[in-house]
Amino acid sequence: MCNAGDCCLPTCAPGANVNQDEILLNRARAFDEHALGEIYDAYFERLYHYAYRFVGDVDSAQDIAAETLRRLLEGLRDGRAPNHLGAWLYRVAHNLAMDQHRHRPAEGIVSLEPDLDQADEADTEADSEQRLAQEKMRAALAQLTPEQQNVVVLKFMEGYSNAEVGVLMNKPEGAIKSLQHRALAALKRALTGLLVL
Amino acid sequence: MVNLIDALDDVLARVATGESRAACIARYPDLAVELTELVGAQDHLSALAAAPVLPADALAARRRQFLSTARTYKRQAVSTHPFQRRMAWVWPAQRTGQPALLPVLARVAIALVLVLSVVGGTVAAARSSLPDSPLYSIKLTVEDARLNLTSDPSQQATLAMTFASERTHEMERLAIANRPISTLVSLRLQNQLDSALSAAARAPEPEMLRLLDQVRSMAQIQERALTQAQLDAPREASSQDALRLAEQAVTLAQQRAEAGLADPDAFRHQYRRGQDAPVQPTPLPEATTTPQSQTSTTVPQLTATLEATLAPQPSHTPQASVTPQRSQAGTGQPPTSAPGPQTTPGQAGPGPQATDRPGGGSGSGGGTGGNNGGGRRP
Repeated sequence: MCNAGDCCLPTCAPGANVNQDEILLNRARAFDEHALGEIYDAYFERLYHYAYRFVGDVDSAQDIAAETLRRLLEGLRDGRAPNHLGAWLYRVAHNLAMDQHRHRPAEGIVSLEPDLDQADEADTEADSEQRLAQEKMRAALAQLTPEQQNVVVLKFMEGYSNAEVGVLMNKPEGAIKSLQHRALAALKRALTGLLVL
Repeated sequence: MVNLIDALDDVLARVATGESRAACIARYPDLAVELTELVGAQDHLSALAAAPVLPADALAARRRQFLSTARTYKRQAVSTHPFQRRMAWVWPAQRTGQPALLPVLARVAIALVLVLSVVGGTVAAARSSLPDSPLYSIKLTVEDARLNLTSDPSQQATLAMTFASERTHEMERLAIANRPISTLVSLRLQNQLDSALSAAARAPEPEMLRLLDQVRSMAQIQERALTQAQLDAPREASSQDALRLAEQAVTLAQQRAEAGLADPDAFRHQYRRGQDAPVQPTPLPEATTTPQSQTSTTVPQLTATLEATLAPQPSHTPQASVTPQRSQAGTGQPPTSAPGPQTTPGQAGPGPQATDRPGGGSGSGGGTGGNNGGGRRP
């Protein structure tokens, strides 16, 4: 069990995670298949869970995670490898998730209001309420800045400690504390607005 | 006074470990209202459920796809080195993974550079080698190549003088090091002095005079150096003979240069005749060559000749016979019976003055005899 405040990422001895990522990145620049496999194993599921919080769809979340890692390969191919692997991957995944979230209403995939006409008849009322609550929560989340969203998802949903979030976002722990305060305040305001609506 | 940021972080951390939220907030009575609202906002996040765990086969399939994409991109990838990335824009084959022209050219260029470096290094090392060094033959080959590649008579003469000076310098170094001196070096010196004179004869008149003056000056310097070398060299007969032979060659060259300066037409005529004459082997034990023989007689031939000459007469004193006889042979006059070493240029009667060759001077016969001179008469 990881104590609160500790960095419990798989490769996260203090500072070691960054070094580990740097080593992996250096090998990945030469398209070392083992290194790329390690990166995939370390990040695909994390990115999938992260994206799911935003999009709420398994396939879309998988696609976002896969596309994020594909873009990493693209960067490596073109000599644009990131300096900080974790922060770069989460930023790309976040952008992809936000793009998807923005396009969803237009595509009719997700709406803030439950679409009863298209709802599965098998859905119970409770399911509908749950879906509605989820979409409202995502709408509130979307009003936060990208960094605030990252902190909210990584810390309060994925359960990472301040130190771990700092590593993943490439920020000092003090900045994460400050961010989480602003994020919760912004979330409260956003939820209040949505509830009023 | 604890600020709200730290208080919130503390409350969140305690709540995460299972402590009561109310108890945690109660630790900060001044911030209780704000903390309650902020921590309460977190409650709504539970609406967003965690993602379901993915089946292993789905993960494996995605992983295979990822690695397959990686292999494709690897073939398209440019180097991470900035210079090579820029080159990839010039040679797009670098980006396509196709067999690229650049690597082939680069490999050829690298191979050429390596070969040239090795050859260049060897040649550079050979440049300072001495006759007893394994690299010496390379040095001579390079000198010959440079001479053969030069068509301008003036440059040929200058090169030949440079190489002749190098021979003298080699003999000096060997003498100082008390190492044996081969007669091959003397023969080479003589050959190159003859080359210098022959090339000077082919140059236009003013240039020829300038070159002959250079030969004369160089010969004077070399003569002094060789005299000193005889004192430094090993006492063994072969080394001393080699030095004496070299000194004679230098003296003769000096005399011929002076004769050429005195009568350029005769000098030029004689050397042109020498060039036009048929190549003759050296039938007699002559140790020197003519301007003609310099191009036709090989060093091994001369060596054999010299050895044949020196062998039966190890105590022979070249000064007493070679120079005057050679000079007289060059003039076509009968050799003196008692030649002296103090022959002056005027007395020597340099070769160019001889327009006909009775052949009696050196006994070497043919058109080469006059300059071959050097008759070591028993």
